[in-house]
Amino acid sequence: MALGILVPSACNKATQPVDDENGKSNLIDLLGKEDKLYQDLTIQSAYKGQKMTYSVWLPNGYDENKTYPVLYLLHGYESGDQSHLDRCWVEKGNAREIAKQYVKDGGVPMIIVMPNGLSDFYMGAWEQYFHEELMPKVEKAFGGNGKRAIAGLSMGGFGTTYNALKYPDKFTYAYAMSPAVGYDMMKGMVDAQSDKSVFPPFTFEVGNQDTTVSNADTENLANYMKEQGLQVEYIARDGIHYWDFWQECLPKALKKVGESFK
Amino acid sequence: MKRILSTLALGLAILGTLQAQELTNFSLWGQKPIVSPEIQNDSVTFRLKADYATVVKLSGSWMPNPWGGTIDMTRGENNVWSVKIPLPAPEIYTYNFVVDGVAVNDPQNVLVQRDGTRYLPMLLVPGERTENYGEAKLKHGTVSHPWYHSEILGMERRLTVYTPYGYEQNTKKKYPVLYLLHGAGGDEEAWTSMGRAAQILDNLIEKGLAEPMIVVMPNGNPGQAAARTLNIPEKAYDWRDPANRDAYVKSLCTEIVPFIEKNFRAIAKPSSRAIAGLSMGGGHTISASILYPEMFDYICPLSAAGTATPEQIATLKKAGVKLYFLACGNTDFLFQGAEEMHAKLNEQGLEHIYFVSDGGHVWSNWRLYLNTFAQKLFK
Repeated sequence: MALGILVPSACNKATQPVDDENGKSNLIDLLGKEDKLYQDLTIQSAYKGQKMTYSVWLPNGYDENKTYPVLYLLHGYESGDQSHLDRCWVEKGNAREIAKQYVKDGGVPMIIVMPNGLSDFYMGAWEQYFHEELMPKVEKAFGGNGKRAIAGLSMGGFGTTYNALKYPDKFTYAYAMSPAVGYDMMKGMVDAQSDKSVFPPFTFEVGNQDTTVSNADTENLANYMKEQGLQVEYIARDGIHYWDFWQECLPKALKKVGESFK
Repeated sequence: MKRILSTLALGLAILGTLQAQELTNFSLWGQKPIVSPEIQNDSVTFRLKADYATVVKLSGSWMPNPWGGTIDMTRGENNVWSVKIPLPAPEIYTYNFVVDGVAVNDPQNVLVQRDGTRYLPMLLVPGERTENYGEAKLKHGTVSHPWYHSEILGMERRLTVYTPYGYEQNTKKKYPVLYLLHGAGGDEEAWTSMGRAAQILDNLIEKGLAEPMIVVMPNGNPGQAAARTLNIPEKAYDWRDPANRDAYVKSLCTEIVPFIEKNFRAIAKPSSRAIAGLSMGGGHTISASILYPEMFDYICPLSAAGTATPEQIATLKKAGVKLYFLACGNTDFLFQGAEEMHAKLNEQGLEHIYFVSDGGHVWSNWRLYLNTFAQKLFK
């Protein structure tokens, strides 16, 4: 799909985008009937040494004077042009419609931040950018209330599990879809905490016909975590490593994440 | 001599037949050729031979949610997977198979469209809507790719130029010109690939519905010399820099237009110049009409990302407009902008056609718009 259809052109002053370092841009604002979606917002990252893109979804009935919990929703590995990967969840995952419906059905209103994870597996320099640059900036600009959850698919499932295990007190829920996991590393991260009650609850949801990631590793990790006293849900159902599967995961993830915000 | 020639002719004929057989996938081991897609009456069947696949699905742009609404295919004889679906409404669609989670093109389908850096198999469903999207019967124009020098952007840049049937023969005749602009993610081949511009113009002209015209389709990405498929390195381009603002539009109007009028038999008058564009190209169209209000008498922003102030519209009106064709889909995320533009044009008394279609920010609408407004140009 030609992603960057909305890249602003050299236009007259009336449509000149405002500087978006504070997290808002008028030209890229896609006006929904109730909710709002900002795409291709940028932050200059010192850790990554480049401009990083991200998308922000604001729920139906969003009030600028209120604060909201935040879900960080991570995409998977994509080859090719990486400049607009912040759009993946909306364009391929139908995230906007799913989130809008969730709130309409009485779900907990939340802000969804979809960062461009490039191909970094959400670790290292990206991890520092995430916690020290993106999080404070976006939660300040859009009114985060301090509660946050993390979810993602494939490489994003890895990033979800990795970040939730490494920074357990930061997240109220971790939902990993068809994740790639590093069993040994993540087992070590569980072991590193003497008090296991610090960890948030986890869900791992995998497709039985998935030939891209190792469900066996995920299942082993989930079982180990359960043995250690963590709250872990493991869902295995028919499906492959593709977006139709993750579109079915997302409503469930929003439910779990929403409950954790209460 | 005759005998040698006839033997040669026979030999070539046999060779030709063999090659044709290879192209239709006729195997010497007696396997049936796999046909995909196969349109029959009111259904279409897709087939893919995949011996070791576990799960094969079909994803098509006729589906409201192509990524989420994939259709399962069934493994058949000789590991040929297939699925038969009701024939979608007449339109051009793209589709792909998903084999164990990996998107795969249809090896049996020679028709593809290039959308940016992605090649997608194409399904053309015949009908009234698509009657001008296929090749014309007899009278075909010519598509060429001249390059122009841009002082403003500092590089040689590639154009796509369509000249109508008869252009080469009618050496005394001059033609009006439509400047047709693509959106972000596209390039100088977007309109001919996904927009079917050459076919639409050929058919309309052949049927006498459109004036024979030249169509110029430039590359609207200022850092690009040409489409990415030519593998030419791109320049980094900060559109926020005031020096770069409007640089492409300036190049279009002060470099491309004179280039065309110098190298082609183009009528160099505002009444013989039209400008149209989709999305980002719609923004370029509006910008061009603001920066150079005298230049184009026919202005067609399509699903445009851009707007104009009342003063700018008033100036344009004063400069003279023969046709302002404003189009947008009613579920397009830019629809509100189109409604506002429509209101502004009304406020300023600039008569225009406000063409609202069903659907959103998609090529099926842009083909429809071209098919519609091309018939109104230069008349």
